[in-house]
Amino acid sequence: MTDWSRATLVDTAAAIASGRVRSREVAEACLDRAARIGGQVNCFVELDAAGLRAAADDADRAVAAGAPLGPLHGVPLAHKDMYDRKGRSSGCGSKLRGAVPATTTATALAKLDAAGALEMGRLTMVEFAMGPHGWNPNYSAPCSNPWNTAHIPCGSSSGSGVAVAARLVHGSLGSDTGGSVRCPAAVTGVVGVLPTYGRVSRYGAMPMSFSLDCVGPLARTAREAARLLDVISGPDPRDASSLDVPPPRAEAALGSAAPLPRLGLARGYFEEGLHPEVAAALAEAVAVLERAGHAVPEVALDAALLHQVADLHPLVMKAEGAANHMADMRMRQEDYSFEVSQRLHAGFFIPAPDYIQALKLRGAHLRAFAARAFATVDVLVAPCVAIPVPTIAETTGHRGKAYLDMVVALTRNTKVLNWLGLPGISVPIGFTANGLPVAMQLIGRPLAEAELLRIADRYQQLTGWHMLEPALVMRSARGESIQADGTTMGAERRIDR
Amino acid sequence: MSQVTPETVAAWNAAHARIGLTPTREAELTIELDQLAAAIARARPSLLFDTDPHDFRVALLETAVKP
Repeated sequence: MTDWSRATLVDTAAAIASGRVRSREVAEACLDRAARIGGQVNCFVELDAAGLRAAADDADRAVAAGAPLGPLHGVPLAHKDMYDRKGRSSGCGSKLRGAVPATTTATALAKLDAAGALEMGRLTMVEFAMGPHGWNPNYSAPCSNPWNTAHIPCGSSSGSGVAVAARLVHGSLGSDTGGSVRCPAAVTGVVGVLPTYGRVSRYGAMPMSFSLDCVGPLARTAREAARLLDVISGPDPRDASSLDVPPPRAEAALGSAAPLPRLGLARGYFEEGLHPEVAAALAEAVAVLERAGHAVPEVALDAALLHQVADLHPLVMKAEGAANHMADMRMRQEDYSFEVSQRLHAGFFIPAPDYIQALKLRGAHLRAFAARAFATVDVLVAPCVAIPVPTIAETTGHRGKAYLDMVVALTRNTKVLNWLGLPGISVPIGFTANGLPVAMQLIGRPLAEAELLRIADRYQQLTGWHMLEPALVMRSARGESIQADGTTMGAERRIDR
Repeated sequence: MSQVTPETVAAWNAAHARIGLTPTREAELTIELDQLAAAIARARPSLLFDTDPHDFRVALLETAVKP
């Protein structure tokens, strides 16, 4: 008997559309898993069981009536708690939001609705999406990594990575300003997509830094991520940053008979500070591709340029963040957590000429990077998170250089893409010795999402990392009691694809 | 050598930002503000006078994958 909470999004959508399973059965499977392990991973801010059941019943009636069905018809999803839905309030991980219902619905949510997706609830996030490790003191219990609940889920889309990895939902929207989709995906063993800047509308999404923010999907496999990206992409006149380009048709491209895009291993900047275990996993991932006949030559990048980019990213992010939060920081600073207050402070003292000059450099940075990086290859392979996944204890209540170095290590390889506006995908490639997932990052030219997903899909055809499940999921599937012991869970077995 | 001093931060905060900062925090902030100032100072020589920040959108499409 199929456990539909653990089946892929694509298989589940096909089964619902064909009548092989009812959406209500899928919804019940997801709700059952949430009841069993949701209390261990704490990824839901609000779980709307009644709403999900009602929507699933509506979806089943549409199937029975022979109505036209979208590509996500009847499939349960849940999203980072920062997307407007008319009549509902989003908390944005804060004490300051959540009281006033939205008057419109975010474009990305509206597109998912139109594709038939169901929404199971709202997911945890770092306060105002400002922080890479996933910790949010505004929640009563910490959102935890399902592979080992003593470890961080990364952020800021912490609940999104956890919910997908724990098989509570089939996919999720996050947002990414410096790595907030890719890092949670990387440390929970799922796929996370940073689209090209402007590819996906941000209308109705909480702003963090408008020059850097992107909306992106998390899913268990490249194929599922491709479907979600296809659905949410496209021009939107209500978002000034929106590009006037059609959706990537990434899922269709997965079946292309054309040769795979040319691959290159990023050298310069990305290997700096890389933990030996992460480096070894990346080398093995490259070896897998090479053994399958795909050349992966080294590509020497301009490390100095990327360091400049990494240094300027916080200048713009903090200045724009401070502008967004000025009124509340003046009137209600006590309602911000200590850490987020500290992150915002510098933004209030950045001179306007410095901020504008930084923005004036972005175009030149992108041209210089693209000219060198993509002169002989189409897609770069690079590490995502540079270190093994830290514990929650290592990332809370600390200050000082060692702590700051660790925080920087979480996002140093991801934030440079936000500055350059490039698409990037986090793909699981194994585990470090602590039993936590490790990932590579695929990087392409603007609008190259379909190429990146083709590479990711090809890699997933060659490997089985994406099919491993946290033991927490396996135990709940067997009906075993789940202990909140925080001990290493790891992977137990693979599931059928 | 710090370019931004705690006194600078305190004065600018009183005149403009007007957020709650302790003297300790004002002193801490000088380190981060110096780092950010140094970052743009290092990049400044490559700035062109007549570049519009919106040139980034032009560069995005210019360097994009061609259909």
